[in-house]
Amino acid sequence: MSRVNYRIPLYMVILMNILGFLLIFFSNDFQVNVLYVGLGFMALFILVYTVLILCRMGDKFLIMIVSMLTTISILMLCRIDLEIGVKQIVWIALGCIVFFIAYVFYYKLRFLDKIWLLYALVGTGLFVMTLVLGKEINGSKNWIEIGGMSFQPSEFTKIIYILFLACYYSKSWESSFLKMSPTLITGLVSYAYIGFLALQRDWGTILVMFMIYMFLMYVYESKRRLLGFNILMVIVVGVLGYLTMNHIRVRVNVWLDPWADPSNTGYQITQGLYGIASGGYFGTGLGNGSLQNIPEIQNDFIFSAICVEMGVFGGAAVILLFFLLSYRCFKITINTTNAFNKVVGLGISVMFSLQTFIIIGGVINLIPLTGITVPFVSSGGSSVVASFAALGIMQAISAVEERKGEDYEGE
Amino acid sequence: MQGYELVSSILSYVFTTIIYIFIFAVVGLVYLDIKKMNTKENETKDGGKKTIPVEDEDFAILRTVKSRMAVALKMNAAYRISGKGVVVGRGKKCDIIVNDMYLSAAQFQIWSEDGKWYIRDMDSKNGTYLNGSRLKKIKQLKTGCEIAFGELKFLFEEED
Repeated sequence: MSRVNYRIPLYMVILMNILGFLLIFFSNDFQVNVLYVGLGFMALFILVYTVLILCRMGDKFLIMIVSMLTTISILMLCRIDLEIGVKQIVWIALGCIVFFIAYVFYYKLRFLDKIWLLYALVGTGLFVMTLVLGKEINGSKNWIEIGGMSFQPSEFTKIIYILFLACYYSKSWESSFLKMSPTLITGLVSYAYIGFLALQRDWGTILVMFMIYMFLMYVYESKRRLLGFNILMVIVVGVLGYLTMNHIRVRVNVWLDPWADPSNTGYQITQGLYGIASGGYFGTGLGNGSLQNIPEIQNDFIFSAICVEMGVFGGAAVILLFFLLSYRCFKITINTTNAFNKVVGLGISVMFSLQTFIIIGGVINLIPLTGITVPFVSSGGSSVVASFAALGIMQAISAVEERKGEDYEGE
Repeated sequence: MQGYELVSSILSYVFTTIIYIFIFAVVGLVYLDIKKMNTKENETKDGGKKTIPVEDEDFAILRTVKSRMAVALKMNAAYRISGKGVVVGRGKKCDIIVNDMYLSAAQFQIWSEDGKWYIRDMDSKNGTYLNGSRLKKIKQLKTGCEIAFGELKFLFEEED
């Protein structure tokens, strides 16, 4: 293997798209529109990849892995409901634009590690906005509706929160503010965010944010006592939540024994498990499985849908793809020399991997189920756009490292 | 739609194959990546010592504290060291070779990063002491620090 062939993965994605959309074309009584949609999606991906190569924007793998993931997701969504699939493609297109915007901003702006106060305020502002204007969907009040389109601010708050933490842990913010030390402020802001999320009853996001905080603290904090205190707080909050919130107790009980009440509280998870079991090794084939029984199939339970129709191998492939994505993110993080970029990179790597672990673990009943989205795979605009924004930042970090030592052209 | 079901179930095998070829190709590239990392590390190992690159080279002085042992070992009164990294020990590859029987082949290393000087013990058998306490991890050095090892002592001085 002296020469590396970067093209094989690319061809595979294209082949997958062609075959997949031909199949959907077949299943939709040969409507030509489907083919246009497929071509559009493929063109979008090829365009992004070409721009990436031509402008030498750093790592090539990230977008490759993500395009495979989105391809699997789009085929699945188009099969579940063509309308959802098309909507998702529009969101992905928007996500790609946000990807480049995030890239350019992160690459060009040099003061991102100075504006911690702005991050804290924007994050709080988004939370307050959600509380005031929010709309309740599925027991969580974390949606805002603007002009007929609902949008979930907590997805973006996660990224802002990572940037905020990065200001502190990269040591570019050391002066105290209002007579409070940065350590105290970080803790206060973290717990305030968690409090806001608890008010919105968005337990999945709480878990992700708290874990990001813990991971970064574990890596960077020299005071072990602070880490111990926070772990204690997690236990206290967890136990309190379990004792006071009926919602959480139900989830935990379902996790412990999903078969106790399969027609009511355990309905979703047991249907998901039946689905995963019915798929077999290679799945029933796109369009042949019975997916109508599983609630929320296009969001949280998309992993079950993939297992039904693409089999255990398909499901394992999704996990492997996420594994490769986190490997790549961690590698970029290790290679960067800039302290701020390092923390942001670590935060985003942890965010991707944790989010995948929490939801896939929940769906296969490994851990209690909390409703969050699978990055890049679940349907839903805010999740896709936010994931692409995070990916853009990651791409910028890799580009900073790759272009180091080169003369800046045209600047 | 009998035909569709057949096509779809055949294609499910094709899809699985495609996805795994994709994963295999990416893993192959990852493998090359890791291999490249390994060779980089081996190169520094072959060089005998870890050198940390610095943009502007810093210098510092290690003064030998006078003692009967220092005279017996024919130590210089002072050593000028560069920020690229200096290893002190009994081994022939060391930058400052001290033939004291209580030392390990590589006793400790001193280097500078961004104008700050650091010292670390290279897992020596009898230990290195900084201002009287045994070195366990990387510590920062400042002018006036006393580095003791075996039966010898160095005084550290930063050069401007």
